[in-house]
Amino acid sequence: MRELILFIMFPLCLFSQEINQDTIMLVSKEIEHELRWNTNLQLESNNLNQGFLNSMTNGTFITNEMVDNWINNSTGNNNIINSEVINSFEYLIKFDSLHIGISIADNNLLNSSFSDDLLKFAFKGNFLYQDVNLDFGGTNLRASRYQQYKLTFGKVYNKYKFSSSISYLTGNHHLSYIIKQGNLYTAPYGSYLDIAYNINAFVTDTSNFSIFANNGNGLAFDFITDINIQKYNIHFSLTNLGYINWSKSSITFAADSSFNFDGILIDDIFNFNDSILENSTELDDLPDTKNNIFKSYIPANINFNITGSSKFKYLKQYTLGIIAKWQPYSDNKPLSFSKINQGFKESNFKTLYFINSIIQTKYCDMIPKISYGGYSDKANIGLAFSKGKKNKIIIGTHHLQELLNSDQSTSLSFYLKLIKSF
Amino acid sequence: MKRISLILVSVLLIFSCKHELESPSWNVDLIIPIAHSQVNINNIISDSSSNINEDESGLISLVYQQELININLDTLLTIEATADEQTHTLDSASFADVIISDTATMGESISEVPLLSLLLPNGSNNSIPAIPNIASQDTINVNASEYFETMNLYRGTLKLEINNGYPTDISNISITLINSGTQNIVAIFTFPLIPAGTSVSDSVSIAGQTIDEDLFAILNNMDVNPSNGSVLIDYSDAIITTITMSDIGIIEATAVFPEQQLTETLKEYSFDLGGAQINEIGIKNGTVTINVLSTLPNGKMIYNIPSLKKNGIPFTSGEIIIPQTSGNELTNFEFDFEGYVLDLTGKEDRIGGDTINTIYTESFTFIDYTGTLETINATDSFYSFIEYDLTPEYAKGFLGNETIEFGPEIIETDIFNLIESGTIDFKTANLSIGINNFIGANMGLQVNNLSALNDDNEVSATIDNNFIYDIERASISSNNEIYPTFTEIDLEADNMLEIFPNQINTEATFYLNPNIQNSNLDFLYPEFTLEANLNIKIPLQIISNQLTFIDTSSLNISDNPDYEIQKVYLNIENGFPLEAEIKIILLDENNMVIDTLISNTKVNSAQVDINNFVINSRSTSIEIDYKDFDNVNKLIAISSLTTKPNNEFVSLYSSYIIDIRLSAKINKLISN
Repeated sequence: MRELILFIMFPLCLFSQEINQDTIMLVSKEIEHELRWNTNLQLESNNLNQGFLNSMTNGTFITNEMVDNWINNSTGNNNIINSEVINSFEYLIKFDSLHIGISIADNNLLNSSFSDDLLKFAFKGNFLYQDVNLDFGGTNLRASRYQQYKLTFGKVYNKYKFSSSISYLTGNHHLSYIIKQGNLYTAPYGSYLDIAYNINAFVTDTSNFSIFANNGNGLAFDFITDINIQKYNIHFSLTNLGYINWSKSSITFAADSSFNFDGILIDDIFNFNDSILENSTELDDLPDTKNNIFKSYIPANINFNITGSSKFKYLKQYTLGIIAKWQPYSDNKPLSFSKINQGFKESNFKTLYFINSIIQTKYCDMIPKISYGGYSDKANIGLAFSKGKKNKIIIGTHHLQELLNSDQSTSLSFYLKLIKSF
Repeated sequence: MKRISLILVSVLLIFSCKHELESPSWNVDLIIPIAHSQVNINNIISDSSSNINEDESGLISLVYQQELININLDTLLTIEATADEQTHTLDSASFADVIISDTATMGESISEVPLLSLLLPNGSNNSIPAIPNIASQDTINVNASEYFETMNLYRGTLKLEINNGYPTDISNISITLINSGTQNIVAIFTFPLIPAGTSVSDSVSIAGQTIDEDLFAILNNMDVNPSNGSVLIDYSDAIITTITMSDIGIIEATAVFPEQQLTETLKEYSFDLGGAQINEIGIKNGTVTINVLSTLPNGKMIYNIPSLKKNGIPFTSGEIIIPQTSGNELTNFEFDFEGYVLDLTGKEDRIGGDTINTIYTESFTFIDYTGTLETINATDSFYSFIEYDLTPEYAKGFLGNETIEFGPEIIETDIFNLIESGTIDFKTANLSIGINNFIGANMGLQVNNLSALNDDNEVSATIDNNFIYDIERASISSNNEIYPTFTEIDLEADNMLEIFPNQINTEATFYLNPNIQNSNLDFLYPEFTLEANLNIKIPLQIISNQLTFIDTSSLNISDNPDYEIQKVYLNIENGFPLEAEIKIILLDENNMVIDTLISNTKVNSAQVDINNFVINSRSTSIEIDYKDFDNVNKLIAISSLTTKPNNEFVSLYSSYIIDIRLSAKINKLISN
């Protein structure tokens, strides 16, 4: 039985260092130059499935039944959606034990978390929720596009590898809506609404959405180290720890208020017409937007893993690790412990535990992976195929099981790596 | 090939995922508050002409005031008079005297007798001998061209005066005056003796004579008597002859007329103000027009009204140049008298003391210097009259004892217009006639009839129509601020109100100064006379049974393509002890019924305690499914109100309110 378990588990536990670790280390000591192309497409949600996402992007008319399904299938109060589309190109060169790399990457990130109540209100309205308090607190939506220009220095010692990077970030666009607190109470028959909200919104200049728009600039840092202890490699990396300062033409909006709205106050109810509503100024007190500089953080990755090797044919190398992300909401507070905690919490990312391995076959290497956590906050099976040595192609997904769920799948991912070594 | 395939696959993988995002769409059902309002008794009766009154307990009374009578006393003070008509003919004119003198010195006379200058040298002392006929048929030219060319007189006196300046007497003097042209004798004068140093004169009438500008005075004879002894011979001693034409009345004259006053008329004029005896009238606006017709050349007039002053300055027309006319065209000179005060006590310091209704005027007519020869005759004249067209601002004096009839006059009242049917029982109802008297004179009011009418009935007030109510006079301050008096006449009127009248019929007689003349001066400001208002006060302590109001309101709600109103909710929190049945009918712009929005929906009355005070409001929710308000233009609300508990009086207080909240279920399509 034990062997059976091992037999079942081992292929799944074979991990490739190449797909889990943030490293610039050259794959071979004989290689002095390396070119890399990376494409990473990822869409993850903890509750909302592919049907929902398709409906939101395909111009579908959303029926009540669909909405009911989404709401009923929701397993938690907060619904998280994360999307990443990243393409990068790297060039690496080795001078003895020194490694230098430059890279350029285009990052398209979307990260959102919202409550079931917001989902209900957004798709069903408030008619069904009379005498019910709808809570929209903790809702956030962040979307960014930026380019990252990275310069990396690495040093290899006997049992010890170290590299660090500095990146210059060119911000194209950013928007974020942060609803720290939001409540809507609809009285019976809609005779009044109690509304409380604490909203911060930041949107960059909307007059130019091109990829070449430069609406902000920022910096990011990487720190990566690997230590070999006996037959294990211990890896730690902190990457993309950075921020973008968005330009002064950005629109910011902040409102923290609560009010009771019971319609337009009419002096003469016996002479009512819609011009009274049109001329009403009761809702004119909403705060105005401003044009201000603001700062947003890009998601930083913290990766810790241990890689070992074995004599088994199908378990030549395995890796166990955890990944965390740090991305606080936009603010200008100085770094502190509370802010460190805040960044983990506000990243909407649950700590990801993973294990992977490499299975060598006749035609290619298979790289299976099991993980738990992340944006989907559930167990996922990943699988990649790697072919070649100096000229290598790696194609894979982190959510293999979701490919079988069709519209019920909550996550999709695909990554491609092309490596040319010479 | 392998490498190319790899690159191709890579590119396809990267770019084949690009997908044009399309926005989804879905429907949401929202329920939102649209409007809210709190309605109290003020709002409910706002369409009525009545007001509300609130006592200390907050009990509401309906207060209604309707003007019954507003008498017009303009006719008492009408000053539209044509006055001071005058005709000034030339025969009434007084011309200045014509005075012509001639001087004959002793030197001239001695020189006419040969050798006499040797006997009587100038400066010597000699005895003057008798010299008979020292003048015989001597002609003296009398030149009056300075005054006229010719005058045909119907009246006049010619006076000849001789002053003997010789140192001796003269005697047997005979002088004939003849016109140089026609040689007609104008007059003959004889003087037997004129002692030295004395004067003699004689006058004759020259009425009917025509006098030329050149006259001959023929000295038929003059003797010099011997002196009494030696006398100083002074050749400058002279006999001075003076011819004076006075009291000239011209039938016709041709002359270069100098400026001269023709007439002066100082007179008083009394206006006919009926029985009123007015001392002073303040003029709000108006004109005085001087109408003049003149056949005289260079006519001129000055018209003064010392009785008419503004800021203490009497009115004067100043010199008015009157153009000569050959026809009957009058020339008008109009003067604005706004703000003037007309003193009607007559001429200042007049004999017999001040009078009433009388002004004092002065008119002067002139012929201005003509500059050229002009011929005028006795038919030439000035004709003038004065037109007064004045609107008084006030009058002071005795206003008389007029009797003023008012009505019968029917006035519309809308106090119960909103009530369509049902019954109402007022616990109390007060009706009175309130009279504000702004006239500074005592009045008497006799209400001949006061009745309320609806379409079917007329109910008269119980009133003694022979009784005359005394109305005290108003008073006035030194700066003309009027303090009216108020007189209230209470009437029995419950039965009048119960028929929900829509008309009131009034007939009354006013007596001005009905008793005796007051020692104080009366005053009258025509804009502020006497107002009589019908005052109704109904405390809202009522029993109503199916009291049905109909109210039409405008409604304009246009359809919005962005959303669909599926339902409207009317949430009513009724704080009145009234149960209502509501029916709402929708009309289009042509007042055609579109649909019935609400049909006989009951709104619960508030909860009351044993004293029928409201202790809790009650809620009623009305769901309205009607969606298409696009063509709705008006809304007729029919409300039948029944007080609760039944058949018990309930009081309506200001604190009672109806809270109305309007919300709507909206279906909105959310899309791009």
